[in-house]
Amino acid sequence: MAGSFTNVDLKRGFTLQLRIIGALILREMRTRFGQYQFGYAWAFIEPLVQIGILSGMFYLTGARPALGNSYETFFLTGYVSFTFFRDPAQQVMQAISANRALLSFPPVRNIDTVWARVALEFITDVSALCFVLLLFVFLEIPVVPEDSIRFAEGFLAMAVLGAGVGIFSAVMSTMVRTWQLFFGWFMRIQFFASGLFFVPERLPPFALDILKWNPTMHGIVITREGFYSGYKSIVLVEYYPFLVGFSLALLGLAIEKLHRRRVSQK
Amino acid sequence: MIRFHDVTKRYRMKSGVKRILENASFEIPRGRNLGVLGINGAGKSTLLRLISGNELPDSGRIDRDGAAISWPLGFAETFHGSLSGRDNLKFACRVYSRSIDAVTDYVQAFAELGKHLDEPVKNYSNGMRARLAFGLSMAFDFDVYLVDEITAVGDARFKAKCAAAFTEKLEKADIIMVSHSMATLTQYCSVGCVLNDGRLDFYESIDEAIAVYNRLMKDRL
Repeated sequence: MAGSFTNVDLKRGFTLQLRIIGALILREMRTRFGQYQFGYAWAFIEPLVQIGILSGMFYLTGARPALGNSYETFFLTGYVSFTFFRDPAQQVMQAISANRALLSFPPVRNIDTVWARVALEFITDVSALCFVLLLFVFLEIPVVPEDSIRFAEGFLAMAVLGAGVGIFSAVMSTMVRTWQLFFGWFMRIQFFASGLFFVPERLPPFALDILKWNPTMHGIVITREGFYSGYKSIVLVEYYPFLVGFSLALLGLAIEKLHRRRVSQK
Repeated sequence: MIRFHDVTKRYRMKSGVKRILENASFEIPRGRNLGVLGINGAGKSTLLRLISGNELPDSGRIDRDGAAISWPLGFAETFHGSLSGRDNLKFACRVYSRSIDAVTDYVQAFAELGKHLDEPVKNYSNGMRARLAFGLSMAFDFDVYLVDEITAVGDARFKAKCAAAFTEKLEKADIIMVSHSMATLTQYCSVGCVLNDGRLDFYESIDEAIAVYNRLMKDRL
């Protein structure tokens, strides 16, 4: 019979899911910054403001950046890389809980809201990166990377990590109430431990021994290796951030699959 | 035909486990309108949400034979508060793959919201929200309409308009209705079922179902 074919629990057309993810992306673009003036434009302005503030503060200290000559590019490679990790991690983590009250249309599933945010954050962060690069060109700050592919690979590594952390946390936060609390601590630590402020080779050995296990640090190192000529990290394990990101995503999706009936309670 | 195969649904509550359905297998026939009865907390709304697919059973399977089933109309918050009525309609059209222009025109004419269609839904009165929700559900052609304690909205003229639109839909579509109003149930439904302590029993006439339900109520007192 056609019964099992149309069983929405088991089989759902791939095109239907893509359509729903598309609809969710369009809705999120409208609502994310809806309460502010200029709306979505803030996603582009925020990294610029942060680079400005961080660079200004470090210029005041009088010290030279650890790589290159300008703090603007040091934080372009550091902070903007970090947003590729932070944004999907935070937004995807909240995808299920934020949309729970809004899932009154049965074709829309929890997992669709997760994929919609993964896609939307990536699109937004890439657009924001392009916007920053264009503005730097306009301001005549040199932004041509030494190795463009490696430069892009670093951002991709951070995005994969962010999506992995986000998907895993989205699922865990529906089961463990205190997860969001731990997640907040984790992200605050990441802001300093990701290496957006430092280059790992300059760390004291005991600090490096600990921080070399932090996958975001490796992601930012890839971006900076791609950007700066002559910088070759001695601690980088290139596949590590990808491995951690994909593993967390798969683990999260597997748990969601097993616990779907519980997680699905809307 | 909507078929439940060995479906179990429970809720864990602080006071213990609440049984909604316990290894229940049944068929809901097409072509008849079904009234769902049950004492408060028996899980009538959950039953509708299982039928629509909003909620998954703990175990078992629900087949829908490709029928287009509505979301439960009534209580549930269908709209995103910070989006305008128009944008909420767009979202629903994209999800259900319907023409945005056609649906917007229909709802615009039906719900009589005028310029308010471009206001955020959170600024709507309850009545406006209900009119938008009802208009949207009438703009989509479903095979089965799930109705969860729908309350009439608006003035007498608007009520008549809703009733007329609904009656027209029901020439082709079926209804599965939860209501505490026996008058509403007998008005729309010909067959009935009673949900009680994990069991769902079907009755050939809605009057019979109401009689069983009344006995249940009396036993509880």
